[in-house]
Amino acid sequence: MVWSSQYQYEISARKILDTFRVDYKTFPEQQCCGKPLMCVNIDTWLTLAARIIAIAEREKKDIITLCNGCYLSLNEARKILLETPEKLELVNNILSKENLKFTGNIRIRHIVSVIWEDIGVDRISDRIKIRLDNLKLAVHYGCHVLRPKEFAIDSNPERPHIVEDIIQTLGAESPYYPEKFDCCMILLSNADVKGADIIRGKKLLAIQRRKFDALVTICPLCQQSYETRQKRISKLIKEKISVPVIYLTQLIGLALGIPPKELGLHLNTSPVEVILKKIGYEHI
Amino acid sequence: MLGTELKKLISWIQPEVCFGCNKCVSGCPVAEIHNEYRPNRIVRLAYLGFVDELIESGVIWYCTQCLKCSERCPMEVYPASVIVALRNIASKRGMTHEAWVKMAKNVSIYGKILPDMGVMSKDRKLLKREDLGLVTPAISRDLIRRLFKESKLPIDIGE
Amino acid sequence: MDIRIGVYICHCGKNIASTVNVDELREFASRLPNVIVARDYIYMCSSVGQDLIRKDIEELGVNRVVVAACSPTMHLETFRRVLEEAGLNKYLLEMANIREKCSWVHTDPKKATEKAKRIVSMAVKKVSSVEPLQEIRRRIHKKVLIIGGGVAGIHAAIELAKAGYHVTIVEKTPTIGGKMMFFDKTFPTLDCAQCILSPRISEVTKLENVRIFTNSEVVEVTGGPGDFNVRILRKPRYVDEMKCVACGNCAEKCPVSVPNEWWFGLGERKAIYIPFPQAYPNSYVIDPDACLRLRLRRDVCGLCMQACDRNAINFDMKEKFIEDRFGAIIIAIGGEPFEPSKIGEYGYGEFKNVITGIQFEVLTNVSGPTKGEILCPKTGKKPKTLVFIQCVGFRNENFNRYCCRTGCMASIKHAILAKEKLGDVDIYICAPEVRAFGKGYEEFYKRAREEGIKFIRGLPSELKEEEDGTIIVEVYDPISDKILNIKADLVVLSTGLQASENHRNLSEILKVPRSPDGFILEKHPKLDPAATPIAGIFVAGVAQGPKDIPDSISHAEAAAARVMSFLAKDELELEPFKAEINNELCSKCLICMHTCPFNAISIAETDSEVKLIVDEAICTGCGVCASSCPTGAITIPNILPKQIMLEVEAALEVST
Repeated sequence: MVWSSQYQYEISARKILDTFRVDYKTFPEQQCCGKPLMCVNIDTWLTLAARIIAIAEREKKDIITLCNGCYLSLNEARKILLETPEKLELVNNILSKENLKFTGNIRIRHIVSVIWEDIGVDRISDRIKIRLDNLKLAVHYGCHVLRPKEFAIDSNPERPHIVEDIIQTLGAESPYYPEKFDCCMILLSNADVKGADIIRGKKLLAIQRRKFDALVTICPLCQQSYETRQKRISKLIKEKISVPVIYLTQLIGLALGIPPKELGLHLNTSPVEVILKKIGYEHI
Repeated sequence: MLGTELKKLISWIQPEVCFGCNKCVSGCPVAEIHNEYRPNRIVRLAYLGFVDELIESGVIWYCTQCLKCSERCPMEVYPASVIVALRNIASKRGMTHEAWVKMAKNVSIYGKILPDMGVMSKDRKLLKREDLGLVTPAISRDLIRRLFKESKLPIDIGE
Repeated sequence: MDIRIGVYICHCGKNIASTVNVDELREFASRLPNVIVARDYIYMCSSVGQDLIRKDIEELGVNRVVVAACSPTMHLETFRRVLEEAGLNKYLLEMANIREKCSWVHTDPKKATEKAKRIVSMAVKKVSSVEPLQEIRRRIHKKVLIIGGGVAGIHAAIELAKAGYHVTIVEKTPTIGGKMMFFDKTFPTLDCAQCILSPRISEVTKLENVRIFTNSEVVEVTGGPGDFNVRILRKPRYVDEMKCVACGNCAEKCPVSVPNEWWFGLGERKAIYIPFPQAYPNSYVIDPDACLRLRLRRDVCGLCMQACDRNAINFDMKEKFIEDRFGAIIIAIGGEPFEPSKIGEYGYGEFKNVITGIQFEVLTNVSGPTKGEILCPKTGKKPKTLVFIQCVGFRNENFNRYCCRTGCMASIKHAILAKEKLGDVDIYICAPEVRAFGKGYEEFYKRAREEGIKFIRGLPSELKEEEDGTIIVEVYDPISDKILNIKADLVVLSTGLQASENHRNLSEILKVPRSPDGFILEKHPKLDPAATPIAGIFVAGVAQGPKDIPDSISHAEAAAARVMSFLAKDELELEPFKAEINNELCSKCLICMHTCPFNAISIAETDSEVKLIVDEAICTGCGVCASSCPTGAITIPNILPKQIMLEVEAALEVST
């Protein structure tokens, strides 16, 4: 499994996978999937991506990503390498020095797909200890799990439903809202953080005004975009933004009765206490 | 044909077939806040050979790769990919945007784009991966350097 | 008899002459065995060119002709006629294709000329061996079958009936009239659709030699041009058309409601219904997939029967099959609207106030669910801001590549009608460009702009919905260079027509090919747009490709004219290239019978022998049987194996 700098995501994801006995492993030698290098030199990206895939192949395991960016990066790299013999040769030459070889025979899956397909809503439903009734949640899929449609985690990528279905199983509701498919703008913040924050502010403000209890994410970059900058965004758009932002895995964990600290909720930087109170937790 | 330099980098782009439906601009979040940013304008300028102008202006680094343009384009032009190709060309000329240079340097040192500095919990404790029982990465700097060198990354990652 | 060949080389303007050295070719041809004269001319197919051939036949005694020019699909008939007029059997002609097969595909003049020499050499060798042949004559039934009773089918029927032919219209739905019947006004004149079509319906239903079968389908066609044997299924209406007066009492009592397909999902109808008040036949019909009694096959409900005071309802009606013979068939099956729920980002199906163009048309129709009022589906209120989005599902690599052709004009019409009906409303039409190609169309477009309808040269990427059903439309307007944020009460996705299941089914039944876009393939897009590659089968209207009402009617009248000339004589003349089976060599293995794509071969048994016979009317001379026959018992005149070998020999000879 690929790890994340958003520790609480990793903690909660591992918790869920462990609860449902999904077998996975993380290797200390895994490095960045290479996506940031795609805009600098495509071959470097392909090399880094191929390396992770080759490690997984060596261990005869599929890859689970927690991050939308990694998800698309690895899937896209795999496709390009399988379709372009010159790139495949280039990359395997480089990897051969570590006795690694990329053949592309493993799958790259997003944790949400693993939850949906391997665990399934029925098994989750059986183990629910705290029903999240009366919670109105804003779902944020992010971009790279829905586009391009070839790799999308939902069969109807423009009108997806799998995260909403999972949330419904937990007892909460997640209605549509117009800003739902707005991008978290993480890449724009490299060149123009102010512009990125304006757009994020628009979405957070809308979620706040529409009286959602929290924003639910499935990608660490999206979470980071919305969670860690609320003070700055408030100053920029001159409106107080205070929206709890929580990972889907943390939400599922809460419904399963796992204590908040074991889901890393003490590491979230947004006001998650507000939503925890609604579920019955006076403190984290 | 114009655009061949770009197609050598990314084979599936088709800047020549754009008929100007403007759908990419309608859905672009960056275009919403930056008046000079229009995905199809970037594609058209690249196609007509104004690559230098595009690279000089720096506009190619604004795209957030949300992929709405590429996904919904009726002609499969793939504007977001044209921009990635332009970024590659800029990098070959030594004009990579500094944020990306920083990321490349971090990857070469830490194996990831950000160093593991630990995170501040709500009860004001600085926690590191080991404190949380998470596997710590052990990625060799030399390995990453070698990967960068052999794949010909055009960035000087220094010492 | 002595073979005297004339070789005629066409320059085809520059098409052949710029690559092939016609002088060298002519010199070469003149030296070939049995060639007594070789000429070249700039356009052989012109009268002057044709005269060259004719004169040589009359004066020099040329008795075999080779024309080295374009593909035979272009002018084979033209040159055959020249031979005939000059008194020579028209099958003593060979065309050497030195254009499509040579000058158009090669750039090196030296090599192209060498290749042209080989091609001409092959034709000369072949023509030396051909025999004079006679056309096969078959009887023709002066009866026409028109499949589809929409505006195209009706117009073709009227012309043919007036010319004295017996016409049968087979219409799948319970009424004729087609899609035009629920249009309100038509562009660019804003004529009322009913007012134009109803008189024609009245006319066609009164013509004596027109027979109309509604609620019916063509299920099988055998035979060949001039003599098609057709099997028609007449599905039961369960209501006697002669007794029903369309009072509607039955529908009031019927407990079953289903989506009304005539309203394209905007409302419901009962299981017993009449498609619209002006339907023909003007009678109700029961939908067997909706009706409880028919679905369950039990004596339940029957409320309609009780309500009917004319005793018109009869649940015991059964399917009937009719067989008849026709000389020609016209396919006029129209098309079906594109279903935009596949385009998830526009939210059709989820966002109630996003409708299609055809649904908007239904809203404007007084016989529709809102009695002609334009209302937002979500709130039932009148919209204040409308947005039309063009090209939905068309000009798109993921859906239909072609332009829908009618979308721009339909939306302009809708916008103008909306202004009329709703007064001061804000209307935007999002179109990359406006296609207003017909007579009066550009003026209609100007009128729309004059009335304050705003045209935006950009398409939205996605639609968003507010809680109250308002649709947020973000669209880039390049002229003002602004991304507009429009809060629309009603969004209309202007879609168009595409080929349907009917196209696929009918294509298989009639063995008529379809073009890559799924529509029926025309014989030639310019020279023969209302015919199909299958002799005797023609096509009219949208069945061949999307088009508006004026073009559908023109096309239908063209199809009628083609049918008239096709059936004009008392006998049909068929080309003599039909399979011939030599009974002595035939081993009765039946391979030919099973491989024939047209089912032209059958077994004829008498007391003394069993023979395989070919129905010349059906046989198309494709040659599949001949090449499958293990004993070589099947041949096609003038395409005998030994003649083909002569061509091969000529092709392989070293040129001089």
